[in-house]
Amino acid sequence: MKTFGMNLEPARTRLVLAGALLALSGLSACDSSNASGEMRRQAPTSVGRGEMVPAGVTPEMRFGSRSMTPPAGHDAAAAQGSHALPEFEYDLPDTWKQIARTDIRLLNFSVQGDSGATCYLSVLGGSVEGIRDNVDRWRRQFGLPAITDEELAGLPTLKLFGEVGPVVSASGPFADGMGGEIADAGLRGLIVHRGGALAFLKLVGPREVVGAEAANFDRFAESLNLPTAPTVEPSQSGASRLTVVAPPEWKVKDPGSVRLYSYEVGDGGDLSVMFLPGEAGGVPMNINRWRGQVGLDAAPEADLLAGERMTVLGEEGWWVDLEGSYKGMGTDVLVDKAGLIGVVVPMASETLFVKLAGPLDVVQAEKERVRAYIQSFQMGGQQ
Amino acid sequence: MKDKPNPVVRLLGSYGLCITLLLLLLILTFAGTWYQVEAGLFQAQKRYFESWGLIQHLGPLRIPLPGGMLVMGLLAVNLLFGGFVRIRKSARTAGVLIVHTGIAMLLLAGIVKQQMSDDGGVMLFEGESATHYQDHYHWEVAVRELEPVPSSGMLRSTGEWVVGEESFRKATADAPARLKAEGMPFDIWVRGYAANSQVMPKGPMWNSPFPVVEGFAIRAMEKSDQAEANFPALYAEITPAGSTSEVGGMPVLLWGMANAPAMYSIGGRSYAIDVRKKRYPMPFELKLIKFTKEDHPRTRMARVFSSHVEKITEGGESIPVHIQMNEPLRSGGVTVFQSSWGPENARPNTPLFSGFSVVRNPSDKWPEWSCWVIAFGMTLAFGPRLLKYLGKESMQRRRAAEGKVQ
Amino acid sequence: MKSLFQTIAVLGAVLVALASQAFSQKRTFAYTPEMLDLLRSIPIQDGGRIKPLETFADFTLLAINNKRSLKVEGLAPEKTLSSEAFLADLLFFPEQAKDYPCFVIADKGTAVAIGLELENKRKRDRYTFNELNSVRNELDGRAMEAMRRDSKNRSTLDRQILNLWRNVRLVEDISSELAFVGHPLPTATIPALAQVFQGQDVELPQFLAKAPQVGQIATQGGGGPEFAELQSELMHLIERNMMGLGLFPPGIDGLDRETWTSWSEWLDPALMGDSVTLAKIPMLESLAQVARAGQDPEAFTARLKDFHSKVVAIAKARGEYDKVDKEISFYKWDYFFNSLYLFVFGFLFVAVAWLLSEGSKAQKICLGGAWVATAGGLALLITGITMRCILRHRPPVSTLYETILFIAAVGVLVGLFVEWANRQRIALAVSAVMGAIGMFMAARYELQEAVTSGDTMPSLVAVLDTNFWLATHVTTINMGYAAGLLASILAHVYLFSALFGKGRRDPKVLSNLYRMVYGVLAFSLLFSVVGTILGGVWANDSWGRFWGWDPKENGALMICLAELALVHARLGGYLKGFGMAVGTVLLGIVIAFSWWGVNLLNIGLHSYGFTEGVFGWLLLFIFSELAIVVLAGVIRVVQSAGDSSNLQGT
Repeated sequence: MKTFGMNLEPARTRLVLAGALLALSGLSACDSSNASGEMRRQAPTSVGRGEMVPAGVTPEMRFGSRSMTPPAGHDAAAAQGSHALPEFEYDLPDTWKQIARTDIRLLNFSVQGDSGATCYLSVLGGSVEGIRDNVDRWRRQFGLPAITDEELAGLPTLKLFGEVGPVVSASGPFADGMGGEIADAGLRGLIVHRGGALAFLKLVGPREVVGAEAANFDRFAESLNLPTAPTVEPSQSGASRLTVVAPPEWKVKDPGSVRLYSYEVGDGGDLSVMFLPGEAGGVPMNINRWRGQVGLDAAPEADLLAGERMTVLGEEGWWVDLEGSYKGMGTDVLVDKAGLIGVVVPMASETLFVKLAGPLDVVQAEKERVRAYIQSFQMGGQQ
Repeated sequence: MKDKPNPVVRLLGSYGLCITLLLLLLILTFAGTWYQVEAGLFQAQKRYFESWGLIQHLGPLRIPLPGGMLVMGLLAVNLLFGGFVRIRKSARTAGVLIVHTGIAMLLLAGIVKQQMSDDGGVMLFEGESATHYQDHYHWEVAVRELEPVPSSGMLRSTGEWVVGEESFRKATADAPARLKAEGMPFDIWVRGYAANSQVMPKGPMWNSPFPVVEGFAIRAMEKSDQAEANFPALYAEITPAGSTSEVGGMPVLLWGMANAPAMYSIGGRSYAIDVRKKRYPMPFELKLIKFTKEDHPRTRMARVFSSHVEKITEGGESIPVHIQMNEPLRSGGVTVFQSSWGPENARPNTPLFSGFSVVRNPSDKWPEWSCWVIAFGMTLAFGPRLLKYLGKESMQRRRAAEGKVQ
Repeated sequence: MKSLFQTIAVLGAVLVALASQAFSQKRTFAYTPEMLDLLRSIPIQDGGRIKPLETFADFTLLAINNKRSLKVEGLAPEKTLSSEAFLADLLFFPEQAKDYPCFVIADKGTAVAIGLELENKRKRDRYTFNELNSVRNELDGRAMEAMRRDSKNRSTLDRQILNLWRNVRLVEDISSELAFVGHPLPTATIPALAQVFQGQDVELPQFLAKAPQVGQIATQGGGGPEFAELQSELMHLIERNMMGLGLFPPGIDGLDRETWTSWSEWLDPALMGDSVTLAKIPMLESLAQVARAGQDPEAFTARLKDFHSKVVAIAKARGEYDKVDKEISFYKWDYFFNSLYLFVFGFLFVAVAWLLSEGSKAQKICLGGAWVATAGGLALLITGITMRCILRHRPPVSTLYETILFIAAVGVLVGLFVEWANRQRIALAVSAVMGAIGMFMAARYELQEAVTSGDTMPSLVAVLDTNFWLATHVTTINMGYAAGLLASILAHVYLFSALFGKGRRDPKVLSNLYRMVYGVLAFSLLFSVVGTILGGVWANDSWGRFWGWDPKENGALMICLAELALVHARLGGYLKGFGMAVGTVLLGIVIAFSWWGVNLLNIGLHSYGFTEGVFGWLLLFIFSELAIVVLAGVIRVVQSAGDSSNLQGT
């Protein structure tokens, strides 16, 4: 190696060396551990998200699933109101009054003025098995032991969002663990499982109030409907992601631009699958339209909605099975004995229609295969 | 050369060491880049660049390599001895010395950044404001003293106590960490800590290392490669201040992802207890007035996202500022960057939040200055040689031409 | 029975018919230059900007056919269709265009996978839309499967199927753009609409003209079930036709609106009574008239002119048209391909000059020719880059494609400067070679860009939208790349000369070459280091961190480290001429990896369709360079052994 440059006195060398090593040691992050645990006092801080705390906080509120939505009552959210928060449909009992909802309490009511009773709806992710855990949790709040199998099986049931679930009643001293205490409290609660989530409807308050409101609670549960779909977002359309398994005998037809799938079924049967954005007029209107196509008169909405349901793609749909005669639009030919079966499925942002129409015998013969076909529907990955 | 230089200095300042280190860093950089494909940036950074040594797998081979810290540290030493001490100082080497000064500045900026900077973020919806920003990785326990807000059913904070994660990270049931403070009417005994966890209703399918509280329990999970994807949970028991043991305390679960704090009431007052991302104060309050996100027409590609904010100083004066990509707000020692927006799958008309990165870095501008220093130094080092070369070549040509003429 | 039931949903069936049995007339006339000029210069909004239809057509056809033109002998009056003619046929003569063999399927396996008959096809034969449509179920199914896989886990076959599927969809969408022509909506049969349309069935433009009235009936809900179905079908049409072409600018009243739309996108606003949208109806009617011209070339020209003038007038009023003309001229001159010719000629001239006797007149002429050709190539290249800067309002480099152009230009420029300084004819030849390689790469990569992004002038994401940093960091670092690659090519010349050429006998030749290599390397070092640090400064301004060890940053760092190591190795006396040349050849590998390889690591962003093509070339480059280095070393050792034995022998 060539040597050039200047010589160093040993002392200076050491100094430089020490400096360099110091710099070097500085590179490693120091990991000093403060074992004392002494907490430091400071003024309130804010990082933007709501720093206010609701007065009654339940474990469900704390540990339930959360979405990044603006805090309720927030200016921007209020301005955009209907977009930020879904609107449920329900019949409100006279004695109930809606109060501010929270991230967890999707609906929140005070019952009988300031009696101290509240009723609220919350939805959390969970499985069917979770129902039992939650029944037990509610019972624990009243100091009751875990429920036995017989007791659970013997509970009365109610429908919520079309699903049946157990109605839990309890009374006694109530403590929610956050200073909320009622000496003689009552509970009427309903838990149902729907589409990978648990829905809770819970009325809690002084025992006599809860007792008096039990009927209102049941009616309210029956009347409660899912939020109507917000604005349509085309990119999320199921049309681009739906996969199906069709019987080999069905002849695939060019679906064209409107339909998603189209088949010739049997002799003269025509099966179509299509998505329309939004509600597409609503379930009753669409069923009535189909009724009209086979010459039947429109039926009252309530009757139609009470009809048979079937679950498609995790959503609830209305099964339609019609017989009639058919007069082709724009033609005067009358066809006797026509059949029309299908399903109308309102989904988050669109409505799915599956319809088989044709000669009655063809439609009747294919009924089971159509059902199986519909059950084969799957949503694939995002496009 | 009158005396023999100190051999240690000779070695540390040698070209040989310099080249070896540069090539080692080159190899580390390559391997570290390649490793990102399988393990992600964070892991690669830890393994190759923030380490003292590692074993590189190459097919069946196992090759020990020095880590980035070691190599860069030695490079700094080599630069010091070779590039400043031993180098011949003359007009010819002035440029090189300046370049080395620039590189040293750069290294120094790196050390200062690592030792003295805080780095975090804030997410604001329109109308919201922040006095603090949050660390991406580090956590703290905070106790907020609450008072009711009249006729709203809400409580607000009048002051808080905080303590960093280093105080409770290692707590166990046998060796609990006791979090306390002068004036805080209760103590928090942390008896368990999971660095990454989920808190969920206790089911039969899994076991929690910690007790079940009100039907919920901590499910410990493996630590994620992405440090910011880890959410810790604590199991703690709360006793009135001054209790000599934690026996009989109120059990609580704290979770980094919880929607709301745990509540504790004593002496007629309520307190909210949280584990949350560590907060650093900003020298001003930042209020988001308006957030704009615009796509290129007929595409889903964001063209611009920017925030109109107000910078509210301690005196209460509010100054409007426009922050957008590549145009941060630098003020009072911190820099506020437009970094993101959300929610990711927002529908049209959904209110969006604006995400800011906030960095306090005393060496913020040093790299830029070093860049000009290095550019100047290199021009000084190479420029004269180029001119000399050009002069020589044209002279030769002229001579050759004259020769031909003659 | 069957036919009766097919008409159950009359409206549905009609609309199905629109898409499936669109007007099926054939084009009997050949497109005249006037027609093609008109077609080329129709403005269209695509990929976030306004561009001439020619650019859109070019990249569409490139993506589908891998060429800018299409052979259609026997299927159309022309033998070959230009891209805009192909697009016009898709729009106005869709049934004919569906029989054009325009889909290239690169891989036999892909064709087999979707069940295409292969008997009469050779490997790279083209397929028609109708052929592919006959196996549509299989293609759709395979594409869905591939889409469901994470982009990282997609196989080559997956990617090719997805690619083909997208192309088929694209052609289908374009060819159904005007499918409404000649298919009136059955408005007469809907009682609620009878009055609005005077009991007539009307076509889409007339329907849209009355959209506010129709919309009113819709909101009042008095239309009855037939009307509701029409409404649903129309809404559905909007969804299905989201891929429509952005041919219609908002009118003069909508100057504040930036987005051009396809007709399907304004169906909905029109039903809501949006006046700006209604102003577009004459343009749609005009476009429909072109399709109605049928086999009459004069009518076709006249109506095309009418549509063209309507759209252009609005685009001009909106201040969006001036760049369209410039872009047409940019592509017409084809600067980069023409410069490729010039660079090749430049190299040939130098090569001939080498062979001619030193100082002869012929040699001088050849050298002059080399200078003119290479400098001419550079001039074309720089003009092309400048045109792109003007069109994009950007500094020269903001995409990977543009780095090729810029690096080639800088390499040639620096090379010519070196040649001007020392007149060794080496740098001249190397410049020409670098220019030619660069332009060849640019042409190849343009094809890649056509497939991945459909344009070489794409819109930029928010973080790149800063002309300051694009002008400083990006240009600086690419100058570093350019000079480094030039040094690497010069180092090849050194090795060749030292082992086989004049350099074996004449050390002066080698020392001359060595000075060139080192000088260019120093130039590269300056720009690489400054560029890399500037990159950090930019990152600090965008994200608040100077350095994050991300692949792109690491790539730049590796170049700096390699160059620093070389410079210090020279200073320390570790490397002399031959060693430096070998080191500089290796530097070329590092630069190639940083330039191209790093993009392969950015999983998800750039990986689509990229791995096979570019990765293969990159590997080939790296291995051949390594081979050169090893070979050079071996020959050197053998030679010096021979030399020393010769010495012993004497």
